[in-house]
Amino acid sequence: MLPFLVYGLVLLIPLVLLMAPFDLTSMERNPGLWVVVLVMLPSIYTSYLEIFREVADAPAVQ
Amino acid sequence: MNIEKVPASHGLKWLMQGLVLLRRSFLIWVLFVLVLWGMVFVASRLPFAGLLLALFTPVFLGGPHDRLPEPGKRWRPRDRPLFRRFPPRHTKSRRAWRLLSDRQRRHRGIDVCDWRRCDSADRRRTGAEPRSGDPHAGNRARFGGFACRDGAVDAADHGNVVRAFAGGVLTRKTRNAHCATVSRLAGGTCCPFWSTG
Repeated sequence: MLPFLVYGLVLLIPLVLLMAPFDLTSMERNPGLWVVVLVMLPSIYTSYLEIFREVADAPAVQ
Repeated sequence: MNIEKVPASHGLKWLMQGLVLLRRSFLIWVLFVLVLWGMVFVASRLPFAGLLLALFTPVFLGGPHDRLPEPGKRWRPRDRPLFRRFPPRHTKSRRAWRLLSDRQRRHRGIDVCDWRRCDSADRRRTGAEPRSGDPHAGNRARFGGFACRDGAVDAADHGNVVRAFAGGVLTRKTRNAHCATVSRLAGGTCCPFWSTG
């Protein structure tokens, strides 16, 4: 939970800074959000890779 | 699947790694975002579709994510278990399996061959026949059955499978465990050959 809290708080800064100069009434037309999403998706992917890991099989030699 | 607990600082690390990923394969991520955005845009204008899309988002994300490169790698390897088809039921029949072309077999991923049930041509084709320069040839010969190499499983995985059973007695239990391991690596294609005998 804590890493995602840190992640969210850190991501909030560019989100506000990049979105504020543009039109906030239409999210789809806000280029700031596009940029943040572009950073957000790979980082979420990275986080999932780290959290959900395949367990290595124990050798079944008798 | 194991759920890891990571320290709080990893939140920042993920962002940094995300930036690295974005830099490495910028075009793929841009396309991914565009496709996702397009889906959301269309769905938001259709009644009930937005709800359905929200419910199926993990499914939609799973596919593109599976094709995206891992951190530290430029491209994802071509063969991925998630997208590999399982072999049809009739692969239990050796004849039917042989009727498949080599190309089709390759598409089905790893091809596992029981030492006793395959002829020498099969063994050679699938790599069971000990070849000079093959570090695992001796191990293969000892445990009798093996997972043959295909593009799907890299050398390290293949070596692990082989080493795990090297020196052990090939019983039904170890064979089934072997099958499970290979299935995990290759998307479940070996069991038909291993389930009997």
